[in-house]
Amino acid sequence: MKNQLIFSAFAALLLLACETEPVLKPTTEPGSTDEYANHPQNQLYRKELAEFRRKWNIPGSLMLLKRADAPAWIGAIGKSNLEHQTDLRITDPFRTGSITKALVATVVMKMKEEGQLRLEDNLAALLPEVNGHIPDAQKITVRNLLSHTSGLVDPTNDDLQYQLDLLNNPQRRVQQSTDEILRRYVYGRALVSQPGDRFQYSNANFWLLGKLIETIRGKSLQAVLEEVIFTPFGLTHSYIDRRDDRNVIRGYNDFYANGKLMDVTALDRADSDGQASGGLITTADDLLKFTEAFFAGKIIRLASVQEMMTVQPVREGANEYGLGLESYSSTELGMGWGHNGTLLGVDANWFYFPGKKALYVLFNNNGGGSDKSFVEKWLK
Amino acid sequence: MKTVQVFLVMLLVVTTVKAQKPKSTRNGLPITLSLFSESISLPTFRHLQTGGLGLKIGTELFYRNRPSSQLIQTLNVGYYRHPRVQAGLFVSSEFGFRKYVGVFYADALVGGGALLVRPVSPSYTQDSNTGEYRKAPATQLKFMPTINAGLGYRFHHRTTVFTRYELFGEMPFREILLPHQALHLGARIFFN
Repeated sequence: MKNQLIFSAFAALLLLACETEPVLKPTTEPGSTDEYANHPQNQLYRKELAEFRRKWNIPGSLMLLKRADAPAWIGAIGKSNLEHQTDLRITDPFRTGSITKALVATVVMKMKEEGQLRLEDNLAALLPEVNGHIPDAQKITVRNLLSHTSGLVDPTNDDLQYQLDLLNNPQRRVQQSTDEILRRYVYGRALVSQPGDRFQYSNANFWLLGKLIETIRGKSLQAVLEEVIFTPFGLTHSYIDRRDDRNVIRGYNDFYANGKLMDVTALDRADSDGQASGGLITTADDLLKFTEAFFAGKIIRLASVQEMMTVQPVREGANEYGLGLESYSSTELGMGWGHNGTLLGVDANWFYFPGKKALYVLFNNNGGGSDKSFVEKWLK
Repeated sequence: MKTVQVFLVMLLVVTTVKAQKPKSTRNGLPITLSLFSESISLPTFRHLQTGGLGLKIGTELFYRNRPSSQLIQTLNVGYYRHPRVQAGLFVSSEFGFRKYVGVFYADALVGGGALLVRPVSPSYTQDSNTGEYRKAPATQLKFMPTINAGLGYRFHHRTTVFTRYELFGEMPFREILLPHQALHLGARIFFN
């Protein structure tokens, strides 16, 4: 019996001795999260945001609201880092997930305006190295990639082995280049549908667009985004390259479906950082600057913005997607354009309603999803 | 800490089990010992990935023990460490069939067990009264279904060496089950 006790204790020690990943403390000093205290709706907005956060089990929620007839409001409730109980601040940078696609699409439209490509150019001609690896590459156009009508597979959402590889070794995934990811999970796979036939959301479209931008411009995607958007329009807290930035809001998810929120930041980093499909890290204020410049036709021409806000026709099924922009039909606000961003530990939304000149940005660091319809009543 | 205590009780039960049936061999219980490479993956040899390393120790009891075949019940304990992902400690039992052809054999086993998992990422729970978050216990107790197949070689003194491919899971998980695969290299030894 004594030996068994010793054995059992030893086994338990083995398990307990397993290292836990250290969660680094943000370097920024704690600051006020209520810098919009003088906004006429501040108290109401904060109260409802706090209720929303608690109802949906979200450690931290950050929101930006902008109506045509009122100044912008930004509020932050909860925590950005549970390990260190760090208060979420309105200036904190966050992972945007697929909101990234809107900025990448904007760069593509800029390149179109500058004559570096046409939306009807095909993949085989623009990226000859994909020939033989992607079926019908000569039929897949830039427009198909921007509108998710190429028929390419989506490993991120549909390939279980992709997801398990991510869980198995997130560190390795961080080190993989876009080319490696394409080779492993996209090349050689049959198309889900013929190009142009139907809307089939796939992050692979934007992996290829990122590669295309870098090839044509001869620069990293980060450098191109700096050149086209970040620097000229003052997005000073935005980037897409991979960085060890401990100040980015951490992500949480009920990963084991046991009611507990696990820190999944390492998985989010592995899945999105550096990627043209979802790697943008930014702040609410920077997204406001982008929105104002973009919808005013300052980054690309208004005709190009309008083209991005046009639902692309498909031969089968319905479509609500433009070119790098999602539509959102609201009974209160009319048609909105923007994008959702979802990672395991991120639930982000960025939508602008041209009819009302209203904007909302909502970031939650629980990727489990939530009902955000309450936002509409604040913007109408 | 409660899950650790439950697991320790289960471990003690397994290590003190006095089986009436099935029986050990006339030469006593064999000890099986294997080192294994573990990864979180669907069953695949095409995209084998590195993951963790583990150790499994067990014994075998026999429902039927003939020179050419055996019906087996195994009892095992094991541990693996998957760097930057999780560590696992398990007790398991499997039922299976083994067929000998000369000095070689093949077997297939199916079973289940309890897996105490400790992810490296911390978890938190929300206090229902205050809405604040506090750190949750790091360990979780899971059901561990397992299926495996192996090939072995028996020496004249009955010691065998074997290799084994195993699939096991963590249940419950958000998508029902989190699959792992493991490749074992081991030996079965009789001590008398």
